[in-house]
Amino acid sequence: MNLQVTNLSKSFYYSPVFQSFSLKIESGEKIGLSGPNGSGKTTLLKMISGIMSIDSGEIRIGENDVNSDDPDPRKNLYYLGHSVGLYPSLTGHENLAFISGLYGKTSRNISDILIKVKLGSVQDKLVKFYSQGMLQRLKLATAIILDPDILLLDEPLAGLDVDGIKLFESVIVEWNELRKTMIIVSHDSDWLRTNTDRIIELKQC
Amino acid sequence: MLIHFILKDLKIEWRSKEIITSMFIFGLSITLIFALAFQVAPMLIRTFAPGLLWVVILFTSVLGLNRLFSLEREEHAMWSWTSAPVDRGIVYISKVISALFFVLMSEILFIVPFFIFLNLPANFSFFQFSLILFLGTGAIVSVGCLISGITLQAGLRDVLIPILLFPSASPVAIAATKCTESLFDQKPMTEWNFWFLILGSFFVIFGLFGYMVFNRIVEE
Amino acid sequence: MTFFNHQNNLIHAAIAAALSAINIYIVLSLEPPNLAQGIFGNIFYIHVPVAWTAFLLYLCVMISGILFLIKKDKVWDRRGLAFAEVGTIFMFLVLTTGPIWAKPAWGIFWPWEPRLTTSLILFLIFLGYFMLREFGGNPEQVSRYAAVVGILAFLDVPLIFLSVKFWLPEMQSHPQVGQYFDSANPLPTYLLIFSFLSLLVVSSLMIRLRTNILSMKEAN
Repeated sequence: MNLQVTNLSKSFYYSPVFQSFSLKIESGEKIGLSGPNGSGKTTLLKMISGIMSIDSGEIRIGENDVNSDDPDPRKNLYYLGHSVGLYPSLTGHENLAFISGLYGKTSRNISDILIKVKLGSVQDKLVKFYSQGMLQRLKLATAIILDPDILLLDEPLAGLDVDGIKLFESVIVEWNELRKTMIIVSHDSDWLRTNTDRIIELKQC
Repeated sequence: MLIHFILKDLKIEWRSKEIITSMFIFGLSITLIFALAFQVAPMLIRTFAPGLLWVVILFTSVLGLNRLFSLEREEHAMWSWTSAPVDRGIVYISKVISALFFVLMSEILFIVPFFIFLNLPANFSFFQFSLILFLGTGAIVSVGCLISGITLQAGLRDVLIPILLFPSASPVAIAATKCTESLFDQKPMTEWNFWFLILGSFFVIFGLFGYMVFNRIVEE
Repeated sequence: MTFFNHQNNLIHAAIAAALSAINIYIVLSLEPPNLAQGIFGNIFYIHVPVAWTAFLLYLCVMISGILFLIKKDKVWDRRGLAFAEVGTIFMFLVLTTGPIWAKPAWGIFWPWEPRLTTSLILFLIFLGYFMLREFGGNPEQVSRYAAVVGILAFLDVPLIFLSVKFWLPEMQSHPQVGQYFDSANPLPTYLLIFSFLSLLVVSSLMIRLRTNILSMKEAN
């Protein structure tokens, strides 16, 4: 499913972050997003995912406008942010069950997926007791269970140990084979060069 | 989908019990202050009791709403549903239902001490009293959830919620007090059903409005 | 100030000044209907049109809010803020001229009369609106929140008015208002309309000036 951003504008405290920004990503492409702090990498992903409003312009997934009042276009994407984005007072399993319910997905294989990401032994522990690495694995498990066509990955390897990084990279390879569209934010330009089709460099306005 | 959100809130509250407990204790504390303050003229307590009851409910609702919406702010948990294919108006409705449940539960807990400490007789219809509590609380939380949603990502939100809620909910305070006063005076319902209509209208108008605009106010 | 460099704006200001001067002269020189009230009796010719203007401006805040949420055009946000600021100034005048008129007319500074009470509640909601504008955070987000609060405030008006009106039925009568009107003498009616129109000219100048300042501030 392709993604089209047209004439996007966004400001914070009257300072523009995006001015008439346009971008087209073909279905199945893997895009790296890099740039200095404050260049708008996370902001762009949040606007595409619907978490953040846009001032003007358009974001389309296929034929559908992401920022309209229609929630349907969001069913084919998942945003893996660098904030937790989960309920600290629910367990890992409960968080996954809740989120998969929002996307109309079955919760039958949650335990299997949590075991796959090496969280099987802590799936009934409250998320507030998870380490940074465990939280990243839980977010990866969410992305696996939702199985969206478009994945927005914001610093996906942050906080992961060597095994965690290998696991994530293997999942990205699987997603690539399934021709999923991915936008990956990372400060590691070498990693982006190796693992993406092209890199878009954002500059501060 | 609605049940999904309500069950999530109930599950979190069942685990921590912090919303109902804090509202109950706060309600009890305000009741104590009223009882002490009115000791200089105890014969006036009965006259003021309907109004005092709704002051307690309003203040405890602010506490409950603040805490209910803070659950969404912690660790940006709300991103799980703002990025999901979910009608955000349904999230607002789920919050109204959850808030209504939690506030009613805390009311059940502090109503008895309220009557005991203020030495109030309870010779009225409990069914009608329950109806008033239900509709009055529903009206408060319908506008309260809207305001809590507005201030969810705002600075000074702890202060902004009561500042915006109390004047907005003044028709509820008046109507609910009038209903309660008439009930305590054992007047027939036909004499005070106008106030019921005010409460019901408030609930419907702000419930609909909240459902329509919630989408725009939860975006960052 | 660049706003007054434009001829149209200067003409607008001159007309506003002239009409205001005529208005004040008429109010001060007209014989009051009741000698016991003295000149304060003529406050009626200021208080009532100021109240009409204030409510009209708050209605414009609501309309601007609706249009901003639909069109997402910042022009409507700036207009909404300007209407809110000028409306609140006028509402403050309502709340000050009200007691000035009430004391000689009714013997008390603050009668809990429905329209005055509705004005007070609306004024308080808009104080909350300005706190939200100031402390709510990111201006782009706050614009949406303020639009919703502006709509909420005016949606509340009929409910507030009805609940206050029937809350204290004894405050409904305005015998002193009747003394201003006489079927044989249309002058008071014409004076009220003239006063209202002159206030519309003044308030529209204030709004245009404020909108101009806000757009220049944003451009910088």
